[in-house]
Amino acid sequence: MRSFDIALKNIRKSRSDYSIYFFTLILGVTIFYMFNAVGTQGMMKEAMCSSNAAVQNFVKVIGMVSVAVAIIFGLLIIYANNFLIKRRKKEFGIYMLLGMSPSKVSRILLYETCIVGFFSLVIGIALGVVASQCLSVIVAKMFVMDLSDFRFDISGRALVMTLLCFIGIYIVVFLLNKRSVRKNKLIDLLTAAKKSEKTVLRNTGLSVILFVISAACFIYVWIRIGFFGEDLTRNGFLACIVIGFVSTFMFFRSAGGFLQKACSSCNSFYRRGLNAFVVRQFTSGIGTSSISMAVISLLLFLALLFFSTGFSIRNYVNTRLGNITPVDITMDLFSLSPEAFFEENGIPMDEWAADHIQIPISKGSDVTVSALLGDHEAEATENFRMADWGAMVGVMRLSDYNMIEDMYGRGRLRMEDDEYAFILDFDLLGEIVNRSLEEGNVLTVSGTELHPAYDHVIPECVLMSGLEANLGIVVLPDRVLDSPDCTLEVVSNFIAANYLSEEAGDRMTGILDEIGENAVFYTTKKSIRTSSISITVIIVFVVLYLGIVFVISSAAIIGLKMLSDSIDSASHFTILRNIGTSGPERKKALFVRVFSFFMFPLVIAILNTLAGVSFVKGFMSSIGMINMGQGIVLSLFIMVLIYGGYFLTTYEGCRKIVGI
Amino acid sequence: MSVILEVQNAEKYYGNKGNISAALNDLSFTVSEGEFVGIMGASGSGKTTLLNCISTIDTLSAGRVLIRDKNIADLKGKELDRFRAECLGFIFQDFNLLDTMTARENIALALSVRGEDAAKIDDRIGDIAGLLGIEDVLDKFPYEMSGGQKQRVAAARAVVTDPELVLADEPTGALDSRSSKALMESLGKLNSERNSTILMVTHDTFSASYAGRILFIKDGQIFTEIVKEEKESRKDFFRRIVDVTTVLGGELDEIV
Repeated sequence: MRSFDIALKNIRKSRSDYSIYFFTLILGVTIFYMFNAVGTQGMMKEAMCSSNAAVQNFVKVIGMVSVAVAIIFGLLIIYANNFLIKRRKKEFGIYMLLGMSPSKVSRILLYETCIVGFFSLVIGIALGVVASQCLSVIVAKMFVMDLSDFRFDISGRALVMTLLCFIGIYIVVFLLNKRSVRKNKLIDLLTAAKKSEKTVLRNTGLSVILFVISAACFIYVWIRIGFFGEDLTRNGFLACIVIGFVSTFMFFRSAGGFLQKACSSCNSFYRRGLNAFVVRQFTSGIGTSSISMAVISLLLFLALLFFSTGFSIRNYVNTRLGNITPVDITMDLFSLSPEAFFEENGIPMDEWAADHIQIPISKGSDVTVSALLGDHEAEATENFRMADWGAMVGVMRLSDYNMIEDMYGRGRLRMEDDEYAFILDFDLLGEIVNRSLEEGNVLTVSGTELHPAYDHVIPECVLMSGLEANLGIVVLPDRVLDSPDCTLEVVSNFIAANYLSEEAGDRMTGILDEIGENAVFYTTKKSIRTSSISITVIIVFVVLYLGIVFVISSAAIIGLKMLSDSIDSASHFTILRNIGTSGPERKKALFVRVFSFFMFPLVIAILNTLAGVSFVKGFMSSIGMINMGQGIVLSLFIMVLIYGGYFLTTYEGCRKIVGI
Repeated sequence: MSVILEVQNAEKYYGNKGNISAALNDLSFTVSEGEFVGIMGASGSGKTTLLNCISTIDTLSAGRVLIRDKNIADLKGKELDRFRAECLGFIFQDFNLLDTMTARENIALALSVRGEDAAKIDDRIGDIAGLLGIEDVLDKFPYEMSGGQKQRVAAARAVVTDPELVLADEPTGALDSRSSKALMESLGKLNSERNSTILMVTHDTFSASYAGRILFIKDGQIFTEIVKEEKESRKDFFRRIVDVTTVLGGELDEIV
């Protein structure tokens, strides 16, 4: 028989062994292609508002993450392959016993690798092409975009990257297999199957103590982070992470013994049907693989955390964009007669603005950051070393400022004739200024003493900005600026406007760009949207990419462990049949075992995530992000899809192996 | 004494059209309640096939196996499982203990599978362990026991449910001579004190000498049958068995 035929037969024969391996390869190729392709697709360009730099950034970041992903997949595939080879050592031994040369055995392995590699790449890339299109549509939906110019395309770059990466992995796999055939002595190959893992007998007394300690640690960390997360110091937070990490390992190390003890001391449960058998199988399985179970649980935890926060950032951007972009354009025009300025440049206001306001901004040496900081200047210097506290802050009259409030749809400011207010949406500086305002810092303008109208800065924007880091505006009573002794001078005009039409607006900003930043500084709704979206698209995608890869890795490792355990315990199921256990009962026992192995680390990960998310939520709502619900639902959906797929494949494989 | 097992004209063929070999060839016998029957024969004589067909692991090509007048071929699905759990006990050459469970749990499983009351399980295990001398190893795992202990645990698991028929397939095959002796004495005790009906397949003359009746099988047929006399010592019975096996072997030599 030709080597190729043998290879083909081998694969067909051990289909149930190969199922998890094959499933992982296909998923790996699909995910790898999908994420690398999506950046170069038309939809993505649209998402980034045709900004080439943003798309290139995206492709670059995804490319970097892909290197890490390729390494993870490489290790995973090698692990899965080792499992298969271990299963087949005896087969290789028999080939060699029959006089086949090691090089011929290697050739069989090469053909097998080629066949598996070829099919996984073809199927994986085909699925990847479809999936990346779907992903584009999802992105479009996520960021509310027009789908009209959607078209089907295949990314050559992603294709080449995927092929190179996976062919590389397959070559490594082949070389490792070849080595394991050549290096092993015949006797080792023939008896490999008999050397199964030795049952690790756990000291149950110790396990119970360890279990109680780790459970207590978990509860402590959950409560600490979940309910009091906001007032944690950095060290406290770090301590919580370390405690959580250590107790995860301790938990999985002791859970087997503890469960065994708990279940076997409940006679009425333990001595019913196959319960004793199922419990023993589960606890001894956990006992021999506690470290990998702990790692898997942590990976799943990271994936869940990534998903739920990643999607929430997306939600945040969409809702926040509405809040911070109340008008189409705001500008700071360094010209004292705006009408004349627009006329001169051929863009009279009535040609592009539907409605607008125009407010003079004054500046003077009386109103500086330093004056507003009062006694807290030193403190501010500590935080912002580069800042120039002598910089003058723009000043507006109260009645003018309230025009902005009206246009932006916000509540008006109220203050007495001897008061002032500071509009600042730069939180870090605001905190320090707040202290000065609380103390009633007096601002003297043109000889008039003014007191703070509020004990805090007004966290609103005047010029729209994606960063929320404006230097701010001081609002003074009209009479101060109107008085003849006023030393402040009008330096520029603030203009906020809504466009007549998108085209008119684009034409106008095009001309403003030509004039340059010396004459006018402007921000538009469109530009803020673009920059916000491209950053969040990158974050969401990286998070999704890594999260999915983590889920795949964990599920594949559990699946392979279950398969190899089933091989060892196939004889157990024969014994069960002989002592009169019915088919459905045996099926149930197997199902419960596979199910509990998949669920155990996931449940711990979910509990951890709930604690983690409630912390992240506290953190996020402190910077204005809320609504995690949708993100969690979406992430659960992805989990169920991948994890569930692995679970079913594994269960089917196990069922075939134990023969029920 | 009532008949427990009745094998009528059992035939079993292997292979497909044009290439058939018979493992059992028109073989009949009965086993009565409380008997200890040994089945002997050379490798390939069909003794394991016979045991498999009686134990419902395999099916006959023709003929019937009746246990308590019930044709086991008629049993399907749940009935078959129940039958295995309640009527049969198995002892295998390689023990077939579940290595993740202690001896006690292995024995208990046979009871709990039958839906036995959890409270009574420990009492019954205590009884059988006392009889077989395995009280000391009850809380050990199989890998902590010697081969003989494992096989006695397997025997305890097979008889703890008080089955109609205990089927033993080369129970001493993997044991050294001392363990073999201890195990066979245990099986003898089960037979005499608990009145267990035992059907044992073996090719070891020494083990066979503990039985009360021995069937010799050759080429799928019963070659001869010897019964232990009322007052006959085990030593004398052993000699008679040796004589028959010599004849069996001698015949083979004649053919060659």
